[in-house]
Amino acid sequence: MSVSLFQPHASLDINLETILVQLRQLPDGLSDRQYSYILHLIRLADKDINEYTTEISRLESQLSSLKAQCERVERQKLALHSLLSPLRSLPNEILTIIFRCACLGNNSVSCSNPGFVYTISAVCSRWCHLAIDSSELWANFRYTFYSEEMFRVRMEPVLGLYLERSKQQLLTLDIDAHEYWESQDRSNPTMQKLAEYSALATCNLSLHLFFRRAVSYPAQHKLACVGIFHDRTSDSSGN
Amino acid sequence: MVTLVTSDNEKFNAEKEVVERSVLIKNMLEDVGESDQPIPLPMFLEYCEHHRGEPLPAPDADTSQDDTRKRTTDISEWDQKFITVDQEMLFEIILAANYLDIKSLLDVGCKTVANMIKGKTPEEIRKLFNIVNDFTPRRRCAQIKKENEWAEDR
Repeated sequence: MSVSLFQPHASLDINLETILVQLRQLPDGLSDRQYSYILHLIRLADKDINEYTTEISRLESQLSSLKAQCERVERQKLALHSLLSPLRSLPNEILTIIFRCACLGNNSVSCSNPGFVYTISAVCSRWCHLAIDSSELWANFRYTFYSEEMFRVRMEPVLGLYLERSKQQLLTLDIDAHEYWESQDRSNPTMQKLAEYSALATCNLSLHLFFRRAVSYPAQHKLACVGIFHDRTSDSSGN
Repeated sequence: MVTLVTSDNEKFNAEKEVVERSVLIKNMLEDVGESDQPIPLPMFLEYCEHHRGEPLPAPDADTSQDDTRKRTTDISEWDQKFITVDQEMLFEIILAANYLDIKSLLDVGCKTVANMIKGKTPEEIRKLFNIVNDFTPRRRCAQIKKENEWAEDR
């Protein structure tokens, strides 16, 4: 395919150096003829610039269309490669074992990180279904409780998601609420949320709470717990 | 001695004690059954040879022993070297270990893949394993929105 070089209609052809030489000379005034000739050249230049701009836009749109087509083919190629991915040969039960291993010791949830199991479920639809179906992956997590507001905005929906997806699994939660417990003399909303959940579901709960002094939880008595473990090593009251 | 024949008719001789680390082969030897399932035999023999003499998990020890074994993703130095292969071979080993019912080898394979994905973002995992983001556009939008929400507080 031959490519013809674009040529504007006016095709202004002036030697720039000639103009610069003229500019360096002392001003001696322009005749009316010279003045109108320069104006004519400027109009021609405007015309050329307009035509170049139009041509550039046309080429740019052609280029972006080609880029979009190329990206589409790249996506198709990637999808074809994905069909050949050796990982696809693994049956669901083995993938689930891998997920379980990957989540081991990787169960921290925070306001900026919804947890590794969430990452797994965001990879592709197969991983998502497997992760959601593996209730044990959602039954074990740890987080630090900072403030009631942060909990309501960020953590409550996450906690709700984990509780819902953990189904009837034994829950093992490590909740570090040092700062909150030491500054507040009321029930932690986490406990209230767990109490609500516990009232709705048969909840087997193994709860590890970390705090430095002895506290009482108004909501605690409502929880159907297998056990609540306090961090005695940092319990300054010695209780 | 036991002779194992691969699907491409290659023969390998190995001691019974070595190949019996595979519960499948152990059962086959006991039942004198047959199978034409292809397996990466030389690697399997190398693994079983190295772990010869180590106690085998009891047939009914699925729950408690498995749980203890899976509580860590640490892999011994020899196993780590053994399993340092390309992705295709790694998944073949995992499939073979599963088929041959060699729990310890299946464990090593699964832990290796788990260690590969740990700490990675969904996009990095997709790139690593050639996985396509096949969520519907609607689901993808929701996902991006959610990810942005999480990213705001970082």
